[in-house]
Amino acid sequence: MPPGPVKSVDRKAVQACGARSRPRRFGTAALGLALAAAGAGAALAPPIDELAHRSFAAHMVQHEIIAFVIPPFMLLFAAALPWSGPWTVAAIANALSRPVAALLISTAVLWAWHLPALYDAALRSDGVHLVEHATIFLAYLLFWRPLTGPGDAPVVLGSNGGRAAYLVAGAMQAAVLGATLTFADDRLYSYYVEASDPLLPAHLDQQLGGAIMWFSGPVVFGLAAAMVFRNRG
Amino acid sequence: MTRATDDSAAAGAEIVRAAIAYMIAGLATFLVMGALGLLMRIGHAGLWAIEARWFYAIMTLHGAGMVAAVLLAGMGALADVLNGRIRLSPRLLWTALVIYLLGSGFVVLATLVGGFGAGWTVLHPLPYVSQGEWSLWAALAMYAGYFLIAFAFLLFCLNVLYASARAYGGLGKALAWRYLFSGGRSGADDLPPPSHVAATVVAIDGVITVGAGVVLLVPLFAQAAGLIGPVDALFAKNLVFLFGHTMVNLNIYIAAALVYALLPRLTGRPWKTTWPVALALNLVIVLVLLPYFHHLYQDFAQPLAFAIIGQFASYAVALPAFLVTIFGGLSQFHRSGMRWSVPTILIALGLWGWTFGGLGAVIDSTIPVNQVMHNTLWVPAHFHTYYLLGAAAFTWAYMYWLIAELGKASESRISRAAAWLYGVGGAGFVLMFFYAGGLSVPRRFAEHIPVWQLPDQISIPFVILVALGALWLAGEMSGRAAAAWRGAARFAAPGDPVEREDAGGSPDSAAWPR
Repeated sequence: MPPGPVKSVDRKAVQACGARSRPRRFGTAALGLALAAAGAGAALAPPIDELAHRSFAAHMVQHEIIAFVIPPFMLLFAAALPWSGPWTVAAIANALSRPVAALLISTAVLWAWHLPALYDAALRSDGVHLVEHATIFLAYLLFWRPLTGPGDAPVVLGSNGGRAAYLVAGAMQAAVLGATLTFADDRLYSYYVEASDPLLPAHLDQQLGGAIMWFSGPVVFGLAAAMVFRNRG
Repeated sequence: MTRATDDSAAAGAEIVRAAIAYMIAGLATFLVMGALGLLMRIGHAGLWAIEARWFYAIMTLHGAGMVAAVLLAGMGALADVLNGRIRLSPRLLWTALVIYLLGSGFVVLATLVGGFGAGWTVLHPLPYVSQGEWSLWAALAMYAGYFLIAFAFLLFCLNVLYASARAYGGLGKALAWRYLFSGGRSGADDLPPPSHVAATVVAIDGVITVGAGVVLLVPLFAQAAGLIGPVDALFAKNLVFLFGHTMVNLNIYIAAALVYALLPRLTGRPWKTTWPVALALNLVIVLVLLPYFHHLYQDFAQPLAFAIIGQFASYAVALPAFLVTIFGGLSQFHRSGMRWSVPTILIALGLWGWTFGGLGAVIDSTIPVNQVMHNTLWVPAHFHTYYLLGAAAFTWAYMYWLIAELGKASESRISRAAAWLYGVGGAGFVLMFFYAGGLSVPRRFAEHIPVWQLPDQISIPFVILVALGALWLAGEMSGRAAAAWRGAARFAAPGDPVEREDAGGSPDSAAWPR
């Protein structure tokens, strides 16, 4: 088989190629898994998880980790392993993580969960909260995949220009959401307004949370840019 | 081809593509900011009442956005000029572009959503105490945006410095110091061309300028966090002008470097690093940092010595610009046999703009004149001339040329007419600013009283002419962008890049009338 990405025409051939051509990088896999686990631990365990019920800003920190830390490291872990899963799963994952689809899905999921009704519902119900975190995680697993792989050429962005446009689009939609929350005159989330033991006054908390979402973008996407661009394009 | 040359060619192609991305992003931003500028002129002319709050937010965005736009495009074009001998890092270029665009996004959100309207030359109690016009976060976002743009520019400058030193065997050689300090008696072999010297000069001052910005921004952020009290106003004002004034001047020198590279290819005449050119460009390293003092003539707490330094530096810095770029550029044109094309028209307009914008600046930088002209529309007049008809014109000239070369496109009479429209419109527009400044119409007023409105009203048709010319040229370039993107690889062939700096034009310039 020739080296490099292979278009998925024959599923068995693809699986066989994948199994033989991807080198096993246990160090990279271990690192990716460790960092993803560390991120998950930080986000879902105390103190952040407890503070998230008292502060919108703390909840944003949690979401930042779920969206921007755990998924890329999970993909780093996955990239180091040979892919030999079911062809249908691969086909669905490939379709959803085509750059435009992945960008739209991650944007829609992020914005939807920040609608006041859904956001408050997530805080009031552990089940809904679990769905919220799971969907954000999956949406951003799709988002980062075109940049990090693993995957075939149609999914992974093949040019620096494409990567740049994708990163800027991904960062700007989150920035717009963050700015909207920061500059909103009203307190949007009744859960925090009614909270018995808030960490901060509701309006300040909302501004800070929006700013965390907004101002973290250049750090996250700047670091990502430094890692994904290539001298050869 | 070996793997090394294959990698080199691929990297060269990536730099060209990055350059195209920089220039397209810069041009698109320029057009949007130009629309905001037209809105401001309409408001001043009394044709549409713009609420003051919105006027200042638009003014802030227009100013920051225009500088960011032309600087971004200039950086991209410069990366292409240097491509070959001074091989920048494509990864760094693309990373800097992402950070730059994110910073620009911050500025847009801070002004249009957050309502920040303090301009850029803020002093305590600005930018944070706004009397309810904008929140603390809007101010922070604005300055975070400036920080990101400056950081991206710093990455670019460091990239240039490293690559330049590597290419020529040290910064001294990249600046032709051996040749300069020996009076031209030695070091003439392997002299960098003027564009490379100018790029290195810009990079050195870029690092200093960004450093000044950081020294100002860190205390500002600390003040916002409540860690320290207000920064000393005189200290802050000196630093903000050292940063901002130098930044825009560096943008003009970037544009000049583009002219040093492009004009010889269009006229068929060499533009070598002669001893006066080496001296002039090296003097710019220091001279470009000092004129900013002319913005503090009216600050009586400023030490008198700084005002005197600013006076002399403002005059002195005009000499390298006049002797090298303007006189040198006109010498290139004179009896060259060259035929007018979009790039040559824009460069000629740019030389005009730099001359008259510079004259306007030199006049206003004369202390007794500044007593009268300070903070009148004379100030925007001179920098709009410098920018629209200087830096921007030079940059669009290079962009137009590069895209046409890569895409193997030719130009039409309409293209050349559009370039002339840009110039004629720009000339009328800035002349109305100068006229208003002569009438002592103040700058930064949201509303003009009726007696001030005549020059504003006259300027509007000229702005529309600029817009028509710019939109036509932008449309042409956009239509050719895809072909240029694909053609990027042609300019990365090993051995070819060195020839690009020589006189006589590129072998690929058959599309251009000679």
